[in-house]
Amino acid sequence: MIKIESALSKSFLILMVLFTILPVFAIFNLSLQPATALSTGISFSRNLNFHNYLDAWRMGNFGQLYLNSLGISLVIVPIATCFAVLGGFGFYYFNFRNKKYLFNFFLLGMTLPYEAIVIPLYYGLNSLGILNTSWSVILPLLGGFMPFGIFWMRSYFSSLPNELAEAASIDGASSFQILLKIILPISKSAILSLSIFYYIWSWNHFILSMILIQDATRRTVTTGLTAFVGQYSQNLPLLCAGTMTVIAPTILFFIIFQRHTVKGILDGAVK
Amino acid sequence: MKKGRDSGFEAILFVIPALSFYLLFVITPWISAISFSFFNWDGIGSAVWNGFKNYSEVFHDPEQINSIKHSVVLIGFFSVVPVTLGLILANLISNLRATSLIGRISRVIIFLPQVLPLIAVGIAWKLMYASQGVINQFLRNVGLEESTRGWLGDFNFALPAIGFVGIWLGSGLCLLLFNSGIQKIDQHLFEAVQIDGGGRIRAFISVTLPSLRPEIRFASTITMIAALSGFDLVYVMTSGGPGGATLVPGLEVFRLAFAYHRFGQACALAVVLSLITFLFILLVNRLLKDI
Repeated sequence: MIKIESALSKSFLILMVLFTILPVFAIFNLSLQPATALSTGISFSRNLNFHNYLDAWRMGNFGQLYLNSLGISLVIVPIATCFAVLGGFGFYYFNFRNKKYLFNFFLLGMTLPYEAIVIPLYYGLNSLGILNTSWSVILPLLGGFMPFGIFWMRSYFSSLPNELAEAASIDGASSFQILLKIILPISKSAILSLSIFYYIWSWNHFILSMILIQDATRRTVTTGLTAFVGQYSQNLPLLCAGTMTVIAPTILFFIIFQRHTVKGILDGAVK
Repeated sequence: MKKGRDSGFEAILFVIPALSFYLLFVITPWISAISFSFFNWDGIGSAVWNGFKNYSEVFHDPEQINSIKHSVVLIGFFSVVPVTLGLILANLISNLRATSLIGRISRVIIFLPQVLPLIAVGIAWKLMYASQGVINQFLRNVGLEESTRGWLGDFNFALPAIGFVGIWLGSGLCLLLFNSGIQKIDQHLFEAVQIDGGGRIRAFISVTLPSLRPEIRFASTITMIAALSGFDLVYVMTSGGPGGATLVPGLEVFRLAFAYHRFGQACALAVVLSLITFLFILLVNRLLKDI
């Protein structure tokens, strides 16, 4: 009885895995077909064609796009993580008037879609003279990343035993020392998870860069990819190779750090 | 609480970097969207006060009201179906330990849709739905030749087809969340039901469901936000077509502003979109707080 049940749940799980991987497998499969392939179905031909990747890289100018997106992520991730840790600690460690309202005010930001603020951003950033630069994506994303980060860090800090900070504050340590010497060393994994999310979200982000960066040489990978797909819509294998090129770093990054992302969300998000 | 912890001044020093970026680049633009929404403005000339007319237009212009209706349909696909499916599947596989090899590998793969850019997801699914794509290939192979079609070009099937991508996006996350939630439930509760002579369904309703409330709340919130901000997916899959059948508010805001140059109108719809998102999230969290 137990054996049948276990076999049954395993097959459900495998079915779910296959369903999840199917679209990714389909474009990977197609990306290896010769440029003349017309069918977008899954086929198993023998002569696999890795040339599409070289062509896509060159024709889509993905080197430049990679650099642009990497630059944006490299600025956003450390700053956003740092601010979120500080803010989360502020909400965890202190009591102050209207703390609950201020926290809810941050939470409100999680429900605000970027679509709702992109038009004023367009004009605001234009008057600051930074439209069409990486800053026009970096600054709003930094602001937009704060609500989740503060929520995430605060709920992690709140799960720590209270005595740690209490003991140190009796010893006369300042609040900043407590954060630095006591809280941070035991929060490495939560902080790492947060920065991985920030990296993935900033790399994957689309709408702000599409509207706020029109200059083709400054585009990010996602906006560059949609332009590429529009341009080579007839050459499906090439288009799939381009898509794989954009998602490969995220998938690799995710697999390397999967301990911190999957487990992080499953243990940490629901408190 | 200890004295040092009551310093509001010190607290502000910690919160201020986050707060200032949040205020400057999220809240300020949102407030100016609200103020734009009361004007008629083509983006070049001077803005003309228009009162609440843009708002009444949101609910009278077929394009805009339809986009809102579509996003409610998408909530069903992106949120209701994955949460329900996730609950059923998580219950079915609850006896499978998460530490087994197959458990570990599968949770990594099932989590994958969460980390892929929606643009790439849209491109992949667009090819899946193409007339020579995987979906039709499958239908032909199982003898349902007459059901094949160009899914995204079909007026009746385009929106459900995009919705199905939402099921693909959300179900795995829900399954994993609920599965890890079930592992945390005290086994004695299930035994108590068994002693009372209750079966699996009784156990599900009186133990599993109430215990999973925080996970269900979290999953519904995340998937609903995804449903209501469907810009990326729709933009790359159909651009709102055919004939506006898949227009969603996010995309319509973009069109109103940058194709029709009706910036005030676009902002009114943007404000309505953010209010709808906020209300839905509030509702879900209230409903699931005390069942």
